[in-house]
Amino acid sequence: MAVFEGTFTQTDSFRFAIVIGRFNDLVTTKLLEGCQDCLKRHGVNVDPQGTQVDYAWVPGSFEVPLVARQLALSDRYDAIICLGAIIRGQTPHFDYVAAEVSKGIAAVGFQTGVPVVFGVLTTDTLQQALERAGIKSNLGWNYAMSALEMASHLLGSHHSRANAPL
Amino acid sequence: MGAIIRGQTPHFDYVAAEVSKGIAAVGFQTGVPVVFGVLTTDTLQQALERAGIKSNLGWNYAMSALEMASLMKQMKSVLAAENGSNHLAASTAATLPATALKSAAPEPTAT
Repeated sequence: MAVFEGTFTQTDSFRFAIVIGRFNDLVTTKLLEGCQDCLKRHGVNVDPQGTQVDYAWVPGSFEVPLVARQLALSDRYDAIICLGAIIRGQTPHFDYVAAEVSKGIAAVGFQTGVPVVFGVLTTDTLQQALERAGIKSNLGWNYAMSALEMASHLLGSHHSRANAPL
Repeated sequence: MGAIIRGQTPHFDYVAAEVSKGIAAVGFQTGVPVVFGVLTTDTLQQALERAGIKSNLGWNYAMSALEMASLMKQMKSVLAAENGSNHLAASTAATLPATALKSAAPEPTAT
């Protein structure tokens, strides 16, 4: 029998797509920075003109699943990172958006077989969001780590899927 | 577009949940960007404040539609072009079972 686990080395052949919601961009740009920092320090070329990372900006988190799905179906990426920030306002709108976005992002990964990282903050306050996007910690970093790990995973990466013994 | 305003019964929760689910599903399943322009508010006051008093979110929904329409167009042309020619794309495409993923979630058919 075997143990399957991802690694964080040998990243030079990976291709990632990052989908970012502009809504609450005070938060999402910081998530993106954390994400890029992590990828870069693991040897990934994060230059949009380069060959390893593509970026797709969308109006808000609600639009993220649709675009992530389109990217996943293109068969070009080892993992897709979805970044967004949904912050509770005065109406119950938050609950509906957050529910649909999380469901949608999960569905993309599940239906296409491409690892899709759920990097959408869902917080009650702006304070909580900022604390997760560069004040105290930056979860963007963790989302990139998840993407690297899943991309290198035997079952996750289509590079290795072609060569895998399974 | 729509406006769901909480009344005295739990009706609001069911309507809002189904509508948001439905609208998200339309976009997801067809690949056509669908803007969620439905206000879900606790009071009429909140709804009015978002529909012309203070701000009008209708404007934002139209902006989203414009942005998404142009984004999808751009993505389609870039992805199509790169699939045919590009460096890395071309080299990986040769080693991939191209149909393996597609069968799990078929592309929406254009009508």
